[in-house]
Amino acid sequence: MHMVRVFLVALAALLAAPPAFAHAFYEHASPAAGSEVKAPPQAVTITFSEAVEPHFSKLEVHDANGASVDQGDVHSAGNDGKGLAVGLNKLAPGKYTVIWHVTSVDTHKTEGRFDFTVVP
Amino acid sequence: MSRLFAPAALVASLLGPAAAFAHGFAGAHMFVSTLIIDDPNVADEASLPTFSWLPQPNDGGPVSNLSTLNFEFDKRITETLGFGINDGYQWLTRPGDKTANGWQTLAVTLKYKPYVSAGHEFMLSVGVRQNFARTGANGSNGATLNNDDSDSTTPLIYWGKGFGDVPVGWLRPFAFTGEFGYQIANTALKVTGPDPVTGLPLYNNGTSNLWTGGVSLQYSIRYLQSQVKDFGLPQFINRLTPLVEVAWSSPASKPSLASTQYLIGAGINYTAQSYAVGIEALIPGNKQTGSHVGVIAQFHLYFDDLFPNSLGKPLIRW
Repeated sequence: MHMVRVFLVALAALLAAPPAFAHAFYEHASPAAGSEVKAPPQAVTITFSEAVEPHFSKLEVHDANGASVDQGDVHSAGNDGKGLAVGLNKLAPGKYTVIWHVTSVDTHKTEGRFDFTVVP
Repeated sequence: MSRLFAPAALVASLLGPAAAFAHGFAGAHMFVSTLIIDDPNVADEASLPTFSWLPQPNDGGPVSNLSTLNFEFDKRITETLGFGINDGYQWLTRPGDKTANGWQTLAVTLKYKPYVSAGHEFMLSVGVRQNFARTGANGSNGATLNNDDSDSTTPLIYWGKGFGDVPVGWLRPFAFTGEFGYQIANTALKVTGPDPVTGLPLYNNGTSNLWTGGVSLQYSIRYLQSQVKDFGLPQFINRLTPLVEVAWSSPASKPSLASTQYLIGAGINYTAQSYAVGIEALIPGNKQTGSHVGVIAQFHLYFDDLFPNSLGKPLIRW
């Protein structure tokens, strides 16, 4: 019984430890993954589950031919460090691919990609 | 007076301490913690605990039930080399009989992850697992619990493959992981002669070699939401991964007292930032694993997220 009590206390201590550091996962984005937008967006913004380091992160947008259509100005968005944004050139109707590689504040790396479509 | 009993074919070999559980990334795909097979990643994490309950194959009398409480700790030595320690306690009960209970055999696994392809969401690892006989219950109690009486060594190969390079969007959240190994008995099972009373063969305390392995098929809602189509689902749903696993073992040398076993796990995994919870129905795959459905559940901790500057980092920067 004593062992069980020790185990439960240790488990509670582990769970009580604030998970301030973790892998940064995609939470939501504008434009959202797989979405169709009528007005060409001026920027792509992704909000992650954890704060990310803009200087050690990458956010690129390519058109259907693989040509870059972003302005290369990757920067933080919002006040909590969880947002990452990049400006876009004027987009014509078509399909675009967002590619991101981010480093969270505790140096964990995650990556992903998604498409969005600008409809006429 | 109650007595110890020997069920026809205990399934403990598929639920024992041999399994180690972890998660890992290959590109955008995260392979979640699997419950009845090992995954391909090398990581700093622990399963505290994994609980299972499974009715055993019926030998004609009342159905016996095997309950296990397993513990597992994984530690990276370098970024791609690590070890895992597994053990557990088990209870075998049957109405009218005395409960057989005791520790399982201690297992230590050394695993190396030489290859990860982010673009193809592919991961390959190799490992070797050593089972240390007589570290758990032994004697007649250990035999009832199916603990081996001699050591074994198992070279293993592990893989994980995400479907991210498949052109069909809704298929991309799938991932396929697996392990395959050959368990080598350190003392080979041999017939020592006939039983003078029954005439049946008597054996030494060795074991036969075994083929062993398993696969899992996973579908990541997080991947669907972030890589394919953002449906605006609640965060709780985003963290779910439905999965199906199949674990298997089969004798690879003669003589053998083992039989081919298949065990299926079907359920769901919830992965948060620093922990995961998994629960699956345990479904016998053939008569050697029984005829009744059981359950397995696991609480899993990611030390690389909980303690990134101490317990959650490799011992050596290589």
